[in-house]
Amino acid sequence: MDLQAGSVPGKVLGGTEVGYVYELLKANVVRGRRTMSLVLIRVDGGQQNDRLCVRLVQSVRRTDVVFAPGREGECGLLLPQSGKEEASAFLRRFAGEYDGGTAGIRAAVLEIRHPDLSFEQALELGRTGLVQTEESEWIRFVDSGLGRPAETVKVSVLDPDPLFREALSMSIGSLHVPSVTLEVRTFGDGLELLESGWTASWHPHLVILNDVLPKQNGLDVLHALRKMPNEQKFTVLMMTRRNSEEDMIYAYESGADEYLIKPFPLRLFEAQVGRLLARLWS
Amino acid sequence: MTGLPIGWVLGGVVFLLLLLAVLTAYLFIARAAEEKRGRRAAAYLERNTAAWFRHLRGLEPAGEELIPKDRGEAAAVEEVFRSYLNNVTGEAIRERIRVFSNRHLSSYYRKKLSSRNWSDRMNALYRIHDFGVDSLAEDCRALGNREVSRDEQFQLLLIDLAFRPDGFVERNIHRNGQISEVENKELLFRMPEDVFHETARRLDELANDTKYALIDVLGMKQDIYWLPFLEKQLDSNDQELRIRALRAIDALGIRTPDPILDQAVFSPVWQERFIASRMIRRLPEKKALQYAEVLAGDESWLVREELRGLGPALERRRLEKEAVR
Amino acid sequence: MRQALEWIMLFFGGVIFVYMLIVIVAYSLMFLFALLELKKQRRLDRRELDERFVDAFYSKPVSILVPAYNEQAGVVASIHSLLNLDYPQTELLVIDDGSKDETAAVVIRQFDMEPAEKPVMPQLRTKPVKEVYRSRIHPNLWLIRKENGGKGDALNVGINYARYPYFCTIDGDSILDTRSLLRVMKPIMTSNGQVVAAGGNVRIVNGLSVEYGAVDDVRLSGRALVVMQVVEYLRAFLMGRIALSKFNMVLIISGAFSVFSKKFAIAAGGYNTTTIGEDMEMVVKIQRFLKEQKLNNRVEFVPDPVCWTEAPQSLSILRRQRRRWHQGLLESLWAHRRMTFNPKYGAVGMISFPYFWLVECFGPVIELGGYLYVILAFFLGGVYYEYAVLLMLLFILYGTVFSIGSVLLESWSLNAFPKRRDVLRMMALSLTEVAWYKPLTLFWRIEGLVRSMFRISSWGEMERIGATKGAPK
Repeated sequence: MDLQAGSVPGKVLGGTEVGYVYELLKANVVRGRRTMSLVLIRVDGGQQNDRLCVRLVQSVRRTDVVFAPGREGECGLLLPQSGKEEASAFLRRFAGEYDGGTAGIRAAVLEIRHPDLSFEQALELGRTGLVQTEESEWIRFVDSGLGRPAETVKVSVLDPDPLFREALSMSIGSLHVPSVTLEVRTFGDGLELLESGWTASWHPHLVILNDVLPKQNGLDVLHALRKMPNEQKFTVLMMTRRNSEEDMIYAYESGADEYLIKPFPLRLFEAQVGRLLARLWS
Repeated sequence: MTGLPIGWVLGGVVFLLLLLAVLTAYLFIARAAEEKRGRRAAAYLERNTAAWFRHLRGLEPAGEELIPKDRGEAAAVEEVFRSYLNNVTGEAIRERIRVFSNRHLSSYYRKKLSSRNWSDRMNALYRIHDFGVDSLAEDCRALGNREVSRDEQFQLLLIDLAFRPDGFVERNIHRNGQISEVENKELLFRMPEDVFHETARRLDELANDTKYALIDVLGMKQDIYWLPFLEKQLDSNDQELRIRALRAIDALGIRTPDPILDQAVFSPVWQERFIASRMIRRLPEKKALQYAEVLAGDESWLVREELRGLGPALERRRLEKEAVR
Repeated sequence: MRQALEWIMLFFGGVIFVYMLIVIVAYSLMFLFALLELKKQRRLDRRELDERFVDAFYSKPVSILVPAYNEQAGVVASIHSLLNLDYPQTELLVIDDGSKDETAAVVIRQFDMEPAEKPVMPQLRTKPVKEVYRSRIHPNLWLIRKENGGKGDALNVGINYARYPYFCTIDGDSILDTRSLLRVMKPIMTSNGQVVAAGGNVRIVNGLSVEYGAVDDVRLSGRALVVMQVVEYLRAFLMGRIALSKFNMVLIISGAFSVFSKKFAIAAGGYNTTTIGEDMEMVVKIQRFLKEQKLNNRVEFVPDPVCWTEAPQSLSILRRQRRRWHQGLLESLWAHRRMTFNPKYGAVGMISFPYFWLVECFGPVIELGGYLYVILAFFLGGVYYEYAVLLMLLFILYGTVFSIGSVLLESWSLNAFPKRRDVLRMMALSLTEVAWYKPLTLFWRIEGLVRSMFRISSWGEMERIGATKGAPK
């Protein structure tokens, strides 16, 4: 390979290096609840694969990784911040600027979300994908069969009205959020939650709380949660009967993520909670 | 003092103590019955909370098991409805509560409406209104023709408004002097748009308390549509009405039209000047300072105090504007 | 000689007897009014009204004033309970009246407070204010530190700093139910300001489990002395407040939990900083102001909003409390004595005042006299024996029957103590009241009376006022 260091913003990684980088990126992706794409590109007609790789290196973002998978005419890409849609958009743009046009370019795109998917397996899946490409459909999406690992999200519902507490917990229980296991618990007062030890684990935690609560009230609880060492794991939804702008602004300033004024439509609540949960995977 | 034989007094005391003993027994029996009802209610809720959620959420029709079989269970159903209505909105949920109450609770409430106990009647009226038991509209009207307390009268008005908004004003305008300002406000707030407009049109026929309530409600509604209406009230002979109209205009949160502000700043009534001192915060700085100068030496402490806050307010607004740029 | 003795015995017997009859008739009437009123409202679902008024639109904002003098033990729980009030708009002003303990430090630490500025409208003259703090957690929670000047002075400072048109006073060691403020404000709200002051029902918190200002489980205290006070409180409430309130004749609403219109409180001159019972004094002053200005505003007592307060557990503290109460009562009555039998002051002057003078203020003298009379009559024997038995029966009728009746009525209508055993225990102890509790309190009250008369208004530390004033003149 005759790449001139400094002339391109990055370099093409070889087989062993890329295996290591792949593991590193994958670990980050899984922890950050994001999606990474692995792209395998082949240009038919005996073109030099270094040229393809060089062009790729010039086109990708700094955070993306170009690698040589070790076969003639093939080049690989790891896009740690992109799903398959973004990856294929990149490919089309790239092919449009490529000298040879789309003719002869084939690509396979594979989304990586699960820690158990090894680099070799991913590469293998990519190659099967490449074989299945056609003239009209030169980008092929491959499904690894390994989705995001199921994750537990804790949900706490705090309201003084036991019937309403139950209703909210059932309403949340009826939500289907892919690859998330919801663990819902209800509390009648603020102290009960803070003393339960339920807040101690590292799980993402959605707290739905009323402003008026016996013992520690909503603001007390919010304050206590936001003072905990790993407070980012809490997403807080405040509920109130008071329709006061002042209170609302203050709650947001104190670290509430959403604010609902009672009475509210149950379906709006479900949509909002669904959205808050989905936002955990940006 | 010997006129009172000891025997009699002794007899009286013993009798009273015995009476108290009997009453205690009665109390404990009554309480036991109440506790039993409480347990029935708790058991009902234990069994059916989830089913109620599924029904009210529209996931399944109301099953046979939800129909209350006795007073304890009826109380439990009431608790469920109250909890949902207080915390959750939605036409569909209201409708399901209405249908169920009409079908399975109306006879229970009809009986309570004819109770001789005031609290029982009141509770029934509350529920009829909250749950929309319109099949009892006729019974309520009949109750209204009898001699009833003020609280019931007002509750009946709310029910009439909820079940028969058409012609509500016509039917009840002669009564508007009988209810307090707070009650008026509540009634006005619950009025559908057209009923509210009709009431506002007939402002002159209203009693003072109702007039004031209407003006206050306009302030809370913060709808610019009513500005001309409010402006007209500023020419009223009634000072209280003028003050309230001015306050409502302030509550609209817009830049007050100059003629209104001029009139307020130079008003002999301190309340009007006080509202003016609040209004000038929304003026452009130069203009605001002009008015502030007029009001600076005001005899009212409240006006002066309000002006003291003007500087920081203008400052904050300038910062906000800069941030927008 | 014998003739004279007979005459004296007859005279005093007659006085005591007539007094007893008056009191029994008065109590019976008030009991009847309470019964009718409670019967009417017994089954009402009050939550309906609560929910109606929670809406900020319809409500009137309230400034809550908590005077605290050496309250480091109870003040945090009290603040927690006040922060949890279900009321649309409140601000909470804790006024540290120059405490010598850690009251201010505890509050500042617990609620993460920082020095702040608060607009003040100096309408009442007070001792100087030192610092004002505001909580970073609860933006409507303030702490005002001032130089010691007594509870009345602390409340006046609170009134000056209060932002809202109504203020609510709560003792630094009291706890409110979530809905209490809403309910005590209800008459003010529905009467659209015609009611200018309202007081709630005070109950005793001893024996209940309280955590962060929430009462968990209502149980009766195990101590006879506390149970006796519980009975006494609920009797006072049933046999006085409800009936007096119905006819706008209220002279006392407990300072532990009351709401006033700021305008009227200021017009009446604010709290008196020199009397002992500043809370009664305030109500009397307002009533007087209303009558003098010929206003038809009202002072009301509301039966169901509850304020929980700590009752003395030992005889010596109870004694001091009762002594102080009685001094306060006499001083207020004395200061406004012109109102007595003065038709200008309507029912307050013609009925309340005479009633308070006779029954509340000098009643203890006659009643204790009755006790002595019974003992003396027993010793004299013969014809007096009969008097003694008769009077004793009247004592039982007056003490025991009304107490048990009150316990029953309370239990039937409000059911504050749901456990049957508690109700029975209260009734059983009521039977013994005549023998020990009653004479004790009578004695203490007379002590207060005597002290007042000699103007020995000594303020102990316990009396929350501090040493700055009250040296014997």
